[in-house]
Amino acid sequence: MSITHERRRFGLPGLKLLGITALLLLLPGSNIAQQIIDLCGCAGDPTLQPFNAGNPATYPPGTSGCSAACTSGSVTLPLPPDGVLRFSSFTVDGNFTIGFFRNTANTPVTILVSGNVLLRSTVGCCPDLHVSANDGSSGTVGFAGVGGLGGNGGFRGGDGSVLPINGFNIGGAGLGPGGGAPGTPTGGAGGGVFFGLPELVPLIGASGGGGGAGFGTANNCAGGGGGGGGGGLLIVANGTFTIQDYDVLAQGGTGGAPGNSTCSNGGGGGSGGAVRLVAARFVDVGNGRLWAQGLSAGSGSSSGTNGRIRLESLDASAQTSFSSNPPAIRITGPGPVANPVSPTVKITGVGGQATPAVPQGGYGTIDIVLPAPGVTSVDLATTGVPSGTTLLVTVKPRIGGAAIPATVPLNTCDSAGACTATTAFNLAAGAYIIEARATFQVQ
Amino acid sequence: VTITTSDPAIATTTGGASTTVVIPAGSLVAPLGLLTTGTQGAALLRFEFDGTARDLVVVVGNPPASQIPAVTAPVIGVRIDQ
Repeated sequence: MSITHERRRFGLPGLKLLGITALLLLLPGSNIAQQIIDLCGCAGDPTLQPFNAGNPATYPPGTSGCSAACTSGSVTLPLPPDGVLRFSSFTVDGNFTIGFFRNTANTPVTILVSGNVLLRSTVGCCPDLHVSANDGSSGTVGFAGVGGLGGNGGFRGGDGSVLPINGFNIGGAGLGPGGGAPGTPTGGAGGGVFFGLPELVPLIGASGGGGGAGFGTANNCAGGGGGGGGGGLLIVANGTFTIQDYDVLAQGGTGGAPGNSTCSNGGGGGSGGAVRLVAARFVDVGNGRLWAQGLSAGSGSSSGTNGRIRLESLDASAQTSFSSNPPAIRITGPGPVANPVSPTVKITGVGGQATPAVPQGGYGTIDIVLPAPGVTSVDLATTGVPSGTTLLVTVKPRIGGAAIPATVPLNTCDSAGACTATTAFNLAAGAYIIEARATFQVQ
Repeated sequence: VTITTSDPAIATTTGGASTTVVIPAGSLVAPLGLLTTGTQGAALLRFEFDGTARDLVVVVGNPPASQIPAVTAPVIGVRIDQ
């Protein structure tokens, strides 16, 4: 099945456009739910096994959960490097909470199921399956709050500052394309802003809230850490997807409280993440709840924005199944699970040093140490990104300043569509986060 | 084909916030007017026919962050010594 989602942009505000759009009928559309359609692209895989939260024999290696048959517990699944788990069925029936260990690259979670998915509580409403973010920690005497980690695929919150301890009266920006601004002596930290297309392709997690500022001279003037951004979750079932008395969560993290609200501000809230559920048919038995909310900030700062929830089914059940916050986008006729071409953007070098294969800056770790301040080059490489696209490179001081953006066009490309570019920043000594992104319309 | 807009203040078809067009028997195409009001923002036009839906996102002016396609690079942590 081929589903097309077209996007058009009209660039001039205030201009009235009257166009002619052709409607193309691509499918007969009748009796579509009766067809066996391989939504997950995994139906032909003979190696698929069932997953049952109550049966540890079905757990993927590395799962933390029950050691014998059980009807309740907390089960945490490991994620492979690409974040994709594949099963013949996925059953959570009892009183189970389901989570996922973050992998090294902190990718979103994708679960492809050739059969049915069941998320059901037998003890009433509502245990959950979650890719939610961590809260930012609160500022305390002598300690600034630390940004909360993003959920699976989400971005970390910014760190807080304490002027007499670390010398800065401005916090750190939240990570991610919609990372919240840092708190300052005159304004609180910003909340994370959800970023991405309604189709949730590519699937990315949400951005973190900014870190709060500690701008007084007392040691308890400690900014709170920003909340992490909610994660990204895609579950695709070729069969039915049933939820009863169960939550699916991609919540942002709460911003940490300030140590003293008269001389510091709290962390911004993290943005809600992304939940996309695709199935032949949804079955809502009751209390099927989907949440991707941006959460609240510490005192004086801003909350994160809500994320996005998207339901797609072959029949019309996506239109009416499950409650959600924010309101779900509901589609009859699922779109592609992934782009046929998966564009990539990578920072390949900073200051002449190569970056690691799997950078850990998103976890708050230092990947590269440069010996001296000054003009610092940032080398970039892309695949699948159209030549001429402008990359946005952003340097975010870990604490102590606002994000520094720079744009660089992609002009040096080979015949296979791989491009490189370089830009530079004049940077003082200190710790930084460097991010890059490409924004373009897939034609 | 029934066409509805998520935000008539931004974009509609010529029939208004919700309209129906008929594709003649034997044809695959029907003409449809698209009208933007000049107000900046994004509207989702949904085309529903025979139990199937297609979406067309119309963005006027600078799109909001929630409508921007983004491919992000892994984040790099850097420390610069004095």
